[in-house]
Amino acid sequence: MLTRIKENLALDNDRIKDKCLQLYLAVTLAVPNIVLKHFYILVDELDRHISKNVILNFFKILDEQSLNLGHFIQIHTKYKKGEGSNNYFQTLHSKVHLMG
Amino acid sequence: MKPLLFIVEKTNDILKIIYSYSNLDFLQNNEDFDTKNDLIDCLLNLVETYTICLPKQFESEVDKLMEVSLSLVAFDPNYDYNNQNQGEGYGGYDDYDYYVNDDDSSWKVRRSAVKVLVTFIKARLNLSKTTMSEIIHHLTKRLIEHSENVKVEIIICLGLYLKNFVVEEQSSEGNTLILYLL
Repeated sequence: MLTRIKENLALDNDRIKDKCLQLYLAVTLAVPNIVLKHFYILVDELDRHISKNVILNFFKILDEQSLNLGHFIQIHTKYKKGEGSNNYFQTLHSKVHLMG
Repeated sequence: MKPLLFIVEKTNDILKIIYSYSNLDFLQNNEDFDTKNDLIDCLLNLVETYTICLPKQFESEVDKLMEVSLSLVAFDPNYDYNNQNQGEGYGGYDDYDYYVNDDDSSWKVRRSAVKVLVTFIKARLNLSKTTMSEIIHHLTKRLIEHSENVKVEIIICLGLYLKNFVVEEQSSEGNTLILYLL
């Protein structure tokens, strides 16, 4: 399914992308430890800055469930220069810093 | 006789009609495809309504309705999924939908079939893990769907099933589902 989701995220269609990220979230919540190994799908999608609300919601739920925060390091590395004005990303950055 | 009781008593008759038409044999063996697609669209909408209104009467039919729906979700006679360049002559993927969907109404059948599967969750039917796992497996394969509206319905449906499927990673069902998810 993750392969199919990735294929659909590559389509030039925001409606499909948005729904696919919601599905990705549902998959993550169903089997978090396994899906997070495939976190690169989301990191790729972040590059496109599409469906930001869905992505932020995704992070928020991961955070609330304390799921493997180590993966946020990838996000921090990618976005240490951008997204600084967004409070939620700032919170994420500080979490990553705390993890060291 | 009270109207609702009348409807309940007629459930079996209605199901017979639904099963006699909602199948691939009927869709493929006759002409006048649009009328047949519309007919099955209406019948599947009827299944949705009945399942919501009379969940107890329809619970025993879940396996059969699931089988019907899953076969119809894959009903796409006018599109070749092996030919990735099919849309190029129409100016690309989206344009292909625009031109071809005017003639091809099979998407109505697929969309309604997915909606029936959504209704199983909405009506809070008691679905076994095997049933849910099978639905997730088949719908995952249909994420290649070319019609945007149908694809969105499939994605929403998959999300609903995953939210209702408590995965026990050590169980055989859990292991099978994890294989589908990856």
